[in-house]
Amino acid sequence: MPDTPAEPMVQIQGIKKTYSEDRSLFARSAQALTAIDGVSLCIEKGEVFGLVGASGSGKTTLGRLLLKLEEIDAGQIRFQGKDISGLKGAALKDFRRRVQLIPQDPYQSLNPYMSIFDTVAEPLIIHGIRSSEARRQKAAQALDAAGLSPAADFFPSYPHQLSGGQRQRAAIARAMVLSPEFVIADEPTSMLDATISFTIFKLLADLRKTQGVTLLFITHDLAAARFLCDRIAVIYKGQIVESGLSEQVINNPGSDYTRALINAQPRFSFVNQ
Amino acid sequence: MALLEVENLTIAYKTRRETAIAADRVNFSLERGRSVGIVGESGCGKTTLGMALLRLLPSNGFVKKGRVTFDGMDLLSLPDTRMQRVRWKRIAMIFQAAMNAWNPVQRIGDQILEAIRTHDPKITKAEAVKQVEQLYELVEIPADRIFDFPHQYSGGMKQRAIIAMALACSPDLIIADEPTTALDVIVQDQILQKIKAIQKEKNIALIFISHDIGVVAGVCHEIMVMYRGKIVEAGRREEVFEVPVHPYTRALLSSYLTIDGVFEIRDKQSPAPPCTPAEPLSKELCGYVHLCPHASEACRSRPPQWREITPTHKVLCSLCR
Amino acid sequence: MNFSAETRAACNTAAAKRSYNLQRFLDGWALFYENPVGKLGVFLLACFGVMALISYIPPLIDPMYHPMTGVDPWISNATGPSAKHWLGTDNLGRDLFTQLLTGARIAFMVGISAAFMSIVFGTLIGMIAGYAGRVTDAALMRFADMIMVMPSLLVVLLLASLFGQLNIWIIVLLIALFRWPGVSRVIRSQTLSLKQRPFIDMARVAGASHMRIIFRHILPNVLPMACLYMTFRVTSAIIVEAALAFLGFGDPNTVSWGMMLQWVWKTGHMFQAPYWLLPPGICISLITLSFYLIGRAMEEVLDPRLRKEENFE
Repeated sequence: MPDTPAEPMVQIQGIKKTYSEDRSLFARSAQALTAIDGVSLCIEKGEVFGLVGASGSGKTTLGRLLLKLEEIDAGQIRFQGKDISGLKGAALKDFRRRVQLIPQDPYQSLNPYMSIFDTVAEPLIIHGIRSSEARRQKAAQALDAAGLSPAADFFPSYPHQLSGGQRQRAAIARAMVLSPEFVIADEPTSMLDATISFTIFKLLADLRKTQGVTLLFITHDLAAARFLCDRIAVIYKGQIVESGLSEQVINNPGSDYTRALINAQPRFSFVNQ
Repeated sequence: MALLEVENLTIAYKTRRETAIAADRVNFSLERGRSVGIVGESGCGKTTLGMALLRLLPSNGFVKKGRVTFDGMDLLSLPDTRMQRVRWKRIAMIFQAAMNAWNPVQRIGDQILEAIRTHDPKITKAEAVKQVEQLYELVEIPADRIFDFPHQYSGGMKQRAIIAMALACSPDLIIADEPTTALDVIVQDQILQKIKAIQKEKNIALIFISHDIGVVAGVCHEIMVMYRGKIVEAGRREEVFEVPVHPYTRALLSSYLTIDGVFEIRDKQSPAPPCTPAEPLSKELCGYVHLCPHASEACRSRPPQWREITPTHKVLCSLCR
Repeated sequence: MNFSAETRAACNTAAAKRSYNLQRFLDGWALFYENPVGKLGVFLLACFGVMALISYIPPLIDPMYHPMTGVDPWISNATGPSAKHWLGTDNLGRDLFTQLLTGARIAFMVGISAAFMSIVFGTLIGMIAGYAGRVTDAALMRFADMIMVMPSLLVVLLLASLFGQLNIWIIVLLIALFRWPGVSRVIRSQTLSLKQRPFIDMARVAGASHMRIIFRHILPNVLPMACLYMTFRVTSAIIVEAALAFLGFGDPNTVSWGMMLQWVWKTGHMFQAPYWLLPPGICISLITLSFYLIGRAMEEVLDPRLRKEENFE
């Protein structure tokens, strides 16, 4: 623990998000679906924070709200002390440089018509790195760091020529190329095979260590969260039911839902270890 | 004679450019009341294998050679009409994301009733309803929900109703292909427990296909690890977990995250326990050689052989002593 | 040293990219050409292409063969085929064969330029409507509906009678203006589904502007569909132009097939001179057919759901 408490990376206070299904012509009363129901969280600088929940629990929505892909209905999200709800223009662009996303589905998250170089270098162009030499160098560094090396071999490839794991590494390179301070990884391995997922987890742990990035890891897999995260919050039906240090949450669950989640994990009791 | 015997089953797909082998010389047998799990990553051919047993391959897939004997019948040469009767009545299948296969505009109960009465036209409606009630009791869905529409069920309930439907004709064999992949951990656990209990109680044989070795280990007596169309290791689950031999099995296990940390393989050093060579089956080189940390010159030049570590534990690898 | 390595890498990138795109094109072409429908379409279109090209030759041989002004001084009435005039002449003594050849050129010009323009309008408006959503979407789509239900031929006729004879390029522009709504509907629905794809979210997270998302991320993905629709639009543009010309609202300074038909009719040779009436009629049918066939074959390449399942029994 540092002596002077540093400013948290992200502070979330009582946020709410409801979706109204007013699309239907015949539904008189528009049914509202509450995706996030009063969540408060604090993510410290430099930590890996795990958000664990089942599908439909609101964990992906929370990630989208933090990325400002959608707007909150109530509450406040502060990024590095600043409220993000009113960001516009240059301030929004600056926010976009600092916060990045590692997507869930590497088969859908890369533009099929863009080469890997174009994909990884696009954020650089957007954020005003004019020199193509500098772009090449940064893209190569990012790909190398993401484990796609030699980078130049991957530059001309298109997404469909790569395996799922390679695509996810390219997506990670794209997210990391601007050296962001906060990265949200939304189920980054749910579409990948077990052996590949494990290497991606290790890569994320590496990137955290070498680049000091703060990571929000969204997952349905408690075991993966424990492997990667310093702290864990368990989300259920749009509410945080429990949060704390990973070890504490798993060894000493405080809520019934967390306990049920832990009990449902596969175990190998037949192996004499 | 075992209930199901698969000998040398080779399945291929014809594509525009080539004929691709999806499953290569698969051998196994399954007794009544036993369960075998097939584990492998996406594209390894595990789903194709399940489909081929029921003769439900897509139109460009075909069985190249091999035999499938089920209860004395040669499944691959059975006439279509008789095969129809074998499906559901003797062999039931629970598909990947089967819960989305319910007809959304028909009540679930009616759909199960229809299945029962198609396969047994003599049964009266009242009897069939009674049977559905019993099935619902078995999969723990309240009987008053039988005649609900699919959208009124939760995902887990829909999947349990699929299990009820699979059991409707009291089959001898169930093939379950990733039956819990789309579900939450808690629901998944409930359904796995259910499948396990029913399988034991009704003495059904079970083939359980999954990418998740942890899930398979929870359900099955035996495990077969499949890699690129070939079974590379097969054995009782305790054997496979305690003495995994094939480097791919070892990679799979050592990348498996459990709630207590990474799964630890007990004998860390040696992937080469003593064993006796069994019949050499393969003519091609090992498919894992490009990723294998133990690959030697021999692996690159000679095809791997089946070797026996114990009578029930076999591995397709050149590493054994 | 360092520079040369970089340059080489850049060259490699460019070369590999080109060969990859080429490969993708060749794969699509192979699939396209396997289809007898596509083959027939390409064959027909090639014939018309040859016709359009050689249409420049006869006037060079003899000014008498100019489609508009060349008059055979020995002929003062519509006559049937002869060695001198392979398809015969019209009532002024102009060579019908050269007129037919020139008509092919005009058909290509009108069809392709009108189709191209309507595709550009349609794609742009469709992408903007689909991407912006809400009010913009509603407004643009209602506008498109309005144009779609407007009887385009009637409007063009009105304009023509108001302003007298219309220049061929004005006609092209009018056709384009009336034919974009169908395209924009298709492109809009494609854009709507693309907007849900995660790579658009990724672009937003990276800070991409709306322009960038539309032109760098959405456009390349809808372009194949736009090309497909272009072939269908060519067909309708040729037919509309022919209809206008036949009704007497064409550009009198241009020899199009529709114009030829109009002359047959106006001079009262409709049922007297089959050698004059039939060739332009057949040509109009065949060229629209060829574009239609090509469009259908392209559709099968672009939309895997339409591909016939490969049978291997």
